[in-house]
Amino acid sequence: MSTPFSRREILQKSLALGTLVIASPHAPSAMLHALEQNEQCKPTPPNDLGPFYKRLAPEAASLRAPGDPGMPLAVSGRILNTRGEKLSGAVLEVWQTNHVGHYDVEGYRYRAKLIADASGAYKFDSVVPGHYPDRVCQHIHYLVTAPGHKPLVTQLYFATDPVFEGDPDKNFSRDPLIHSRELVRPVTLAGDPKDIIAKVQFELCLERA
Amino acid sequence: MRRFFFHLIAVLTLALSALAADSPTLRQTFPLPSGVSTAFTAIAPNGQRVAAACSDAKIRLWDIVSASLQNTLDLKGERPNIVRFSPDGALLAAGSSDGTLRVWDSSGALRYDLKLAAEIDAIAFSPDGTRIAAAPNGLPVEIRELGANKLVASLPATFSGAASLAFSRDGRWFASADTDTEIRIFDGRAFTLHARITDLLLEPLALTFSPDGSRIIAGGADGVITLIETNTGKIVKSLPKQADVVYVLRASPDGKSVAASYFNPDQMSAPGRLLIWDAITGSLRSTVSTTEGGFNGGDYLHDGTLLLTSSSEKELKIWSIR
Repeated sequence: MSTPFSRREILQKSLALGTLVIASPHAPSAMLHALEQNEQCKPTPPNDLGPFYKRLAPEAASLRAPGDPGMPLAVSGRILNTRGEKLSGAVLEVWQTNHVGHYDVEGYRYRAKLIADASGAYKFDSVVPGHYPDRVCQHIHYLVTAPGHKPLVTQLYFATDPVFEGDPDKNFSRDPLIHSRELVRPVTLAGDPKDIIAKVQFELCLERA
Repeated sequence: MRRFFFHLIAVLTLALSALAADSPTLRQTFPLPSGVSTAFTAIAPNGQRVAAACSDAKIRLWDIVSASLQNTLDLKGERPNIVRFSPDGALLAAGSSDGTLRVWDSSGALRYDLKLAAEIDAIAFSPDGTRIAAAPNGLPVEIRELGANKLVASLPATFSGAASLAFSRDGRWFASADTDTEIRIFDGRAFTLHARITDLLLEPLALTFSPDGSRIIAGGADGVITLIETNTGKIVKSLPKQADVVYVLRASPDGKSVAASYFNPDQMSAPGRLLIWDAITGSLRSTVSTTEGGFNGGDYLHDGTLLLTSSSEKELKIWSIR
């Protein structure tokens, strides 16, 4: 039986060749649980932490500095729990590569801590991340914590990623770390034609502890 | 007895010739089948056997001295992530990407077949071989009594799981390198938390004990190898920072040197380096490089004058080192 490639396996494969492609199942049990409990919100599927999480990221609403190259990006969403309750004060840590796929491990570029507001909403500005050399897809890492809830480690992917060839429903598993289609989010373009910005919405649902 | 002397003479021959070397010299290779590479390797504590988790869902075991393939364990499609020998060399454990944790005896007979909730990132045997620690991805570390398949302890991090696990040789301590960036030290029998090392900002990916258990050697995404006093949990030395990420760490049998493999975080598949550090002075002793891909496993052999390495190259290698 084939299984999804894993955190250690990604490290091992990357040390060897880069990437492989394989179909992958995940999270049906969480979905079933949510339906059984008649809960309002299905828990967001977890996704790999990756090896480049860095503690103590600064609180900032913009990961992008003035003049940074790359496609400007605005990400927003809400933090809820499985009852549909808005988790005001939830803490998000987000980290990503720059526009050419480089993680800053020396400092905190493209890393930030965010606090969900009274309505559970969060937003941040950034650039569309590049392709990390040993991962298939562009992605942004999330760590979300809220009192009384299980920490959520997951990743956001972009439906416009060229890897999906315009069909993320069919091709999302081309990245062996994407176990769930719902982590691949639609991208809309907004703004003046000379100043286009990509916008993504990503709502996150935490399980109660 | 005859086999013992054969091994002894052969190992001594290799070791004596290694003494003359100033820098690592390639002594021996173990070729892999065409199209097959290793994901991880483990060496039996007596230095006689090496087990390799291979890309074709097989575990291969070689006799090191005769360089002969002894056994091939077919996992029937399950890709092994990691392999470990028990301290007496009698058992071999393998953790797979589907969460399967299997343990074989030295004849190759399957002794235990466990299923964890997620793919297994790390495993470690207790010194008496009766317990095994495993790190399912993103989940608490599990300590299991092998005979009864009983969960002895569950050791959660703040979030996610652990990347590397180790027992001290005397069994007094157990340590985990956790993906929340902490290193946690536990009592090795009761698994009560003894100390938390919270100084690291980036994830520790590799961890091992010094042979006497007095120190923990850890390294990871920050490119720094940190020596930690086990009893106090205090960092006592940091080796010079490298631009690359530490992936595998091994302590020499005499505790005087540390072998560390590194990969380039901007291109993990680029050729890797293995640096051998003086654990006392913190100075660099020597460097081994691959031609392709990073080192993913290996260990010191005999008295520490030989080093076996595995990488994405098509063979395992034994090096003579100072």
